[in-house]
Amino acid sequence: MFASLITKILDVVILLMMPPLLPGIINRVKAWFAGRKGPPLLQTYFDLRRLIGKQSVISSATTWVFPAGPFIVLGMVVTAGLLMPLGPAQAPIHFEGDLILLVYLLGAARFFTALAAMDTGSSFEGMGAAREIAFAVIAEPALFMVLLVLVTAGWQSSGVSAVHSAAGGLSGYLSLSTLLLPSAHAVVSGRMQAALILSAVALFIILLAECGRIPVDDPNTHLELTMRHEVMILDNSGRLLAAQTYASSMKLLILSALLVHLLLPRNAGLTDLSVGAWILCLLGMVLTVGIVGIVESFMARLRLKLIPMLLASAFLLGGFAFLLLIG
Amino acid sequence: MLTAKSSVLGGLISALALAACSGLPSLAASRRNAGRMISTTLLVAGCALGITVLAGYWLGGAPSYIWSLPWNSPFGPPQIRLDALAAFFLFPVFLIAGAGSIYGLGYWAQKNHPASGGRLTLFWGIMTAAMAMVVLAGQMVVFLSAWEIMAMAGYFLLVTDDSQPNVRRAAWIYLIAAHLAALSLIAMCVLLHGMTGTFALWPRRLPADPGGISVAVFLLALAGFGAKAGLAPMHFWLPDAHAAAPGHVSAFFSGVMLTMGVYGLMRVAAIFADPPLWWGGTFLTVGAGTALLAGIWAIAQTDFKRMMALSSIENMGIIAMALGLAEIGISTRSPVLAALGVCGALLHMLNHSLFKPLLFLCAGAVIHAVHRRGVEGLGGLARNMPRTFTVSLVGALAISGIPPLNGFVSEWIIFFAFMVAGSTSGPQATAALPLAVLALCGAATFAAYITWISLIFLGRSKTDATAIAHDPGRSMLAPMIVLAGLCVVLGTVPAALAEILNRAAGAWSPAGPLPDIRSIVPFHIFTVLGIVLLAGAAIVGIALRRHRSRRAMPAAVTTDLVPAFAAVETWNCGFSPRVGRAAYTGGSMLQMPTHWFRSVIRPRWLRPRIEGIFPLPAEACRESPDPLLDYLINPLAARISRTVDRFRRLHGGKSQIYILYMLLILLILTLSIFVTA
Repeated sequence: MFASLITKILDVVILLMMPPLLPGIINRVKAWFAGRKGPPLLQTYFDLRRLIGKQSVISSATTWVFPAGPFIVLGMVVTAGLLMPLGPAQAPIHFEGDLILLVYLLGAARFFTALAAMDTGSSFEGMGAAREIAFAVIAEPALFMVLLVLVTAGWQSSGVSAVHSAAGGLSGYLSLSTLLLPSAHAVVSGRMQAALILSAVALFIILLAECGRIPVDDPNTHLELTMRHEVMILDNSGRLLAAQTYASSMKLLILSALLVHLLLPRNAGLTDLSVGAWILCLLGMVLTVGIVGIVESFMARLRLKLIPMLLASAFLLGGFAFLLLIG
Repeated sequence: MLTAKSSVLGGLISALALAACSGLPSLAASRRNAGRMISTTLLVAGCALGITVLAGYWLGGAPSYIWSLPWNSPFGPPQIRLDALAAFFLFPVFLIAGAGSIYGLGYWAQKNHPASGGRLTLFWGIMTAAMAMVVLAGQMVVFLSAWEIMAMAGYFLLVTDDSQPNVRRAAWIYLIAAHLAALSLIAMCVLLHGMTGTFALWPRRLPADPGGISVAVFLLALAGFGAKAGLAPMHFWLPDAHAAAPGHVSAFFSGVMLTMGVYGLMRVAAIFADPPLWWGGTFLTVGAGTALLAGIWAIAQTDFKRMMALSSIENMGIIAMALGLAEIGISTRSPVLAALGVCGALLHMLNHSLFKPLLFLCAGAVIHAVHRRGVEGLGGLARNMPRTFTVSLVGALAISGIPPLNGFVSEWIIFFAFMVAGSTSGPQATAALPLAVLALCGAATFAAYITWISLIFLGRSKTDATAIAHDPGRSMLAPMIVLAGLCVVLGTVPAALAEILNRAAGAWSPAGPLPDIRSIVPFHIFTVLGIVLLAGAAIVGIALRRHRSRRAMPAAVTTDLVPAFAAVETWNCGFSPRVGRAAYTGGSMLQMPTHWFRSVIRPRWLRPRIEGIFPLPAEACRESPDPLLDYLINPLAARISRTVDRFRRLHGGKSQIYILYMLLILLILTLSIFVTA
């Protein structure tokens, strides 16, 4: 009881404090590869503090959707974050099927980002929103495929004979907090490992797309032909921009935590309170965004027409992983 | 002393009679508004009575009732039968009929449409009673008669605006589809009678599969009920019909009439206690194909009523998928999967008959206000029509499955059912793969409705058409607000429906009792989540409202969350800000996915040639008609009619000749009996 309270508090603290660090890490990695010194690691924290104190400029073309949008987005993303176990312990909120809610909350955040962007009536924001909702048509099935692999693998490795008993009870293997817990897996086969690695690659592609990173989108600019996220929040300023920036870095944290947990060594004696396991999880997230930085250093953006191919390949990887598991 | 049974029967019969006769005053006094008012009052009274009786029935524990009329017809006594499943489908009939008829008072006002208003009201009432009767029918003749009356009343509702050629064409196609469906169902009933030996509907838990007949029954039911529900490829009548009908008729069609098909499919799925596995597999495949095609087609539409009609087809596909999972659960003896599947299907059906009528009513309100159907040229209506905007946003959020609205709960259950299906060993785990279709449909719905909301209500107006627009009157607004409220309530407190779902699922289940849905689905978590999210939204809303009351500049928006503000034009990278025409349009917003899926959508580009030194003004546009209609149904129909043409010379046109044919056939049959004996 006491231990679970500690891990939950730790989880919330990480969820709220760590997100702005991740873009800083990506930028430092990119700077290092480019031979520059780069911005400070904590630059996003400074930016947020500065933005909160700044005046907001709001277009006269907008309705209430525009100023409300960023805060609704932030609320949805924070709620989603509470469902995601960040360390080797259960998330603050967990129940059977919470992984579906997670995807829906991230989707809701996307809905309101796009809606607030459209509210300005600008063709730039329209372009960003159009691309955002179009890419989701392929990215969403891919993400669900990864989750399906996770569920199936989790159930197979649990050693439980069935996810549901004939009487109607469920055995807990449909919750992120059980599925991702390294201590909850008894049997791990090579086939399962292979499926998880395949789906981790798929998830990495989805992460790049969802968080608007190269090669899908360029976070540094809004005036390019592949612009998406940055252009949607082009008219935001002050606290509105702060909410959007914070929410998008938290989304990066959530997805990289999911990726790390897919690859955590299972059945290796990692427990809820072991300091090593927590450090392993956090290091994993840092490493993940580090790899995002490396990808950004070595790749250019893809042409727009190739992005659906990239996302479709993520979906196909998920499909192969599922067939590998049940075959 | 009235028993519970007879009071329920009396109440329902009175409700149906009130509804069926409600149109007469309006027909009698078609030039005056008073007749219409009396008619609407009668109908609403009937619907209110029906809902009250249903509420009492639920509170009384929803037992199964059968009433037989003591009447010696060759088909046995006509029967009416009410059980929890039928009662579940009755509720939306009464609700949407009542709400839609009130809306119709303003939308299709008697003073503007003196000729068609009376007809519309008459057939609205008949349609309501017929649909209720379809659900209540406990005997084949009653069922088929009610089905046919429903189909014909639907036809007359559809041709309300019969001066338009496209309306007449859509109604014609509807009529063909309705008759194909009715034919399949007559054949199905004949075969069912052959299997069971009675005319009673619906047989349940039959012991074993007697062979080929059950295959034919299944396929005929899939064709007949699938055509009504809009499952591909029998959906071809649906998009045009919904686009052509008046707003509240579209709402009635897609909210209630389509669910009659779902009702039939559910009844047929419960015939055998141990249904073959391929039944569930077929539901799943047909549903997934329908949802996938319709979801993709929907994003290519620029006429938003067509888009909504396609999204109805998509939702029916999702319901069929859930029913398939339930059936697989029954076949593989997995009660959890069966309970999740059937409850997902039922709840999604109910949710769809709340938010889709709502969206059609909102679309109707916009058409009513600006007198045009496409999204092109609109924009900025949120300022002129704030109430319509709010309820439309609720509808769009609900259909996109955004928590805490009702669409989320049912989609969650269906996703969950897929994940449970994926965690079974053996080949049936592949049943989880259509999960990807559901996800794609979800994202496509998102895309279509964000586009709809933002191009109509947000941004700046592109033409003058929106300048005079304003919120509709009270009679149109009230039904929309009621439906939007129900979407929020059912999304936040879904547990209120748990007991009803349990009983309806139990009344469906062909294989013994199903587990309590509350033991599988965490309804209380959805309630907590809903309250938290709504509270958050309220805080943001209050903060916005407070600053609006002390805003400095007329058009500016400030908030407590946004302490200091400056209102300016939208940043347009230095260009002139007043270029509304450069904003995104319905065609460009979803151009990219339309292009990706062009092999499925098969859009048609109408590009005029631009020639000469001083070219004339020209317009390019894109159309996305139904490819299955163009490439499958129409060629097939043409081929069939060519084949059938050869028999045309047998048609003498005189009834004596046809009677001669009958006599000859009977003679041949009699002789064949002698020969075989």
